[in-house]
Amino acid sequence: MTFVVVDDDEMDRYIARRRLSVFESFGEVYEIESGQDFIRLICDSDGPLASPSTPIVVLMDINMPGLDGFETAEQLRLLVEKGQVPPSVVVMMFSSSENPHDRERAEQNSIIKGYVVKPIDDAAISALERVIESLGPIVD
Amino acid sequence: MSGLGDALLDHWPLPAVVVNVDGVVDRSNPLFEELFEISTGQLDGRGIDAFLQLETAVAWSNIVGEYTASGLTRLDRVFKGVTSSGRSISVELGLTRPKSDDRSSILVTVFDVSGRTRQDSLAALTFQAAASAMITVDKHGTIRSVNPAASLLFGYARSEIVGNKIESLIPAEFRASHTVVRDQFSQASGSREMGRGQEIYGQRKSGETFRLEVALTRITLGQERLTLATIVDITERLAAERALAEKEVAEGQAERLKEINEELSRYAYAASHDLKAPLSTIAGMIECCLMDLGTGATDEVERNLLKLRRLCERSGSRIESALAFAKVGHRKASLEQVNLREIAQEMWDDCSLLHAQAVGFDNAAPAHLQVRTGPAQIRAIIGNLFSNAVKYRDIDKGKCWVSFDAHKDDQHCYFSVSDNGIGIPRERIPDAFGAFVRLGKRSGDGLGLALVKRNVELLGGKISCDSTVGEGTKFVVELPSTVHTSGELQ
Repeated sequence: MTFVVVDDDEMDRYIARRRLSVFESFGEVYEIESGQDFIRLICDSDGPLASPSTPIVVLMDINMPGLDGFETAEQLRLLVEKGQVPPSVVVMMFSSSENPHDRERAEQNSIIKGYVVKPIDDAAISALERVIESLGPIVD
Repeated sequence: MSGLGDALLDHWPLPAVVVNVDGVVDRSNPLFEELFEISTGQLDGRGIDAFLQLETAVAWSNIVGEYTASGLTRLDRVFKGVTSSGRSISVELGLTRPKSDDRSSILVTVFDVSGRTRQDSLAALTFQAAASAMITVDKHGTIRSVNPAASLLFGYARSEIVGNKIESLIPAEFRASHTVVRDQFSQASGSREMGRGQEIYGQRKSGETFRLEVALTRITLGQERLTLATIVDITERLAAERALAEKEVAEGQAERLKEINEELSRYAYAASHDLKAPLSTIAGMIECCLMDLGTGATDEVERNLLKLRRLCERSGSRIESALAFAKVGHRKASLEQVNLREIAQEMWDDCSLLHAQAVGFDNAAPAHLQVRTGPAQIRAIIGNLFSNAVKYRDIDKGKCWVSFDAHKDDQHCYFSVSDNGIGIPRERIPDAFGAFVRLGKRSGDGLGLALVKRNVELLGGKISCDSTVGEGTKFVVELPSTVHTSGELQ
């Protein structure tokens, strides 16, 4: 299991990493500062996220300069559709906002599997675990 | 026997006949014979009533007397003529004495006016049948005729108003002035619309008044010059126009309200993100500190507490600027003569002091250029644009610069802030002025350009942006030369 935290706020990335690292089974945590950097990295065939052997769960902040979280998720969905990114890459939106409008938007993108409200608490961790279970093991 | 030469009569260019004072025909000319469908000399020796139907009471000698008295050769009087086949024609007569010493013989020239009288009766029919109200008025302002549509419009029977002054059809308060205007019209020439943009009112028999429009036309009826007034009741049209205008106003207000609501909801959305985010971060950091305290990692705790303190300070100032932004709309601009060059210089000095960056500045605004506008708003606009220009400078370029320019024409004053910074992607420009919109990693609270735009709007101006990524950005502000302040979002 690999985690990618896409967030422009350094402290929020730090908090996420700390909370996730408590669980040894959660594996590696990558921190990325922007949507553009994430798209670049996920497409990089020589990069650390290329041909993953385990599912990749992306914690995606919503409010970022440049590409925001929804725009980045939409680009990722298109990449998965085109087969450029394996379907084992999924997104959980990651925001301080509990705005219903944001939750609705999250439901409209098939690649977005959940919505985590900052800061990550125990309930959020269980939600993450459920999503990971539903992904199942990677074949091949 | 007539003294008029036969040849002259034969060649007279109009139908003519020579009669004596008693109306006995002496001779006719070929054109006359043609008109009345007779053979040459067929009427010689016959009375004038052989071709003219005179009313029984009117003797030929009286008609001759009337002409003589008038001193005219032709009177505006239509007679009924009858041809030999019994066809009725309308004629006017010209009477001359071919020889001044011979008072017995009269040359009667016959003008066939059948066509004209047909036209007249057509006009009369039209007048009666017209859907528009028509009234004829003589030079004294007396109503001479009204058509059925006019009777209906004003609620009077024809006999009740013919002979009255036209002023009886307008409300009392306008009567005196109408008399004066009417006199002026009857002395001037040409047709025109009445009122010249003023509101004209009519008054019905019931006393009810209504708005109307009148076209005035001069006509000549017989010998008399009359004014034909064509009157249209515009009550319904005005009501329709008013309804339309009210609808437009209502739609405009609804549109404005919608804009305000959208702006508010955008603001609330952005505020919920931006103002709540630090609290989530603080809660998360505290959780980390608690974990570290449990394991005794006090160094980590201290580092994180210091970060937390800075975050709290930053959040405080972010809330301040969000509040400041919300307040801009409610302030009213106080106006003064402003020297743009001086303000730009002052703002640049502040800005470069704050950033202490090596960025060149060119102030190209003319020293004498003054504009009456709100100095506080101008400072906010220029200050924010400068701070942006410095923040988004292109470090890869050898020399970074910012330039200020201004000029003025009859209606507007323009100033611009240009830089050779990193630029804004074209598709992001429309969003750039939104509140809490951050375009890049270097963005602050996302309020700078929103604040600029609000201030520009407060001064009744417009702002536009032209930018190329990698080359630079130019903001142009257009302000009216005289500002009408609006308390935007009242």
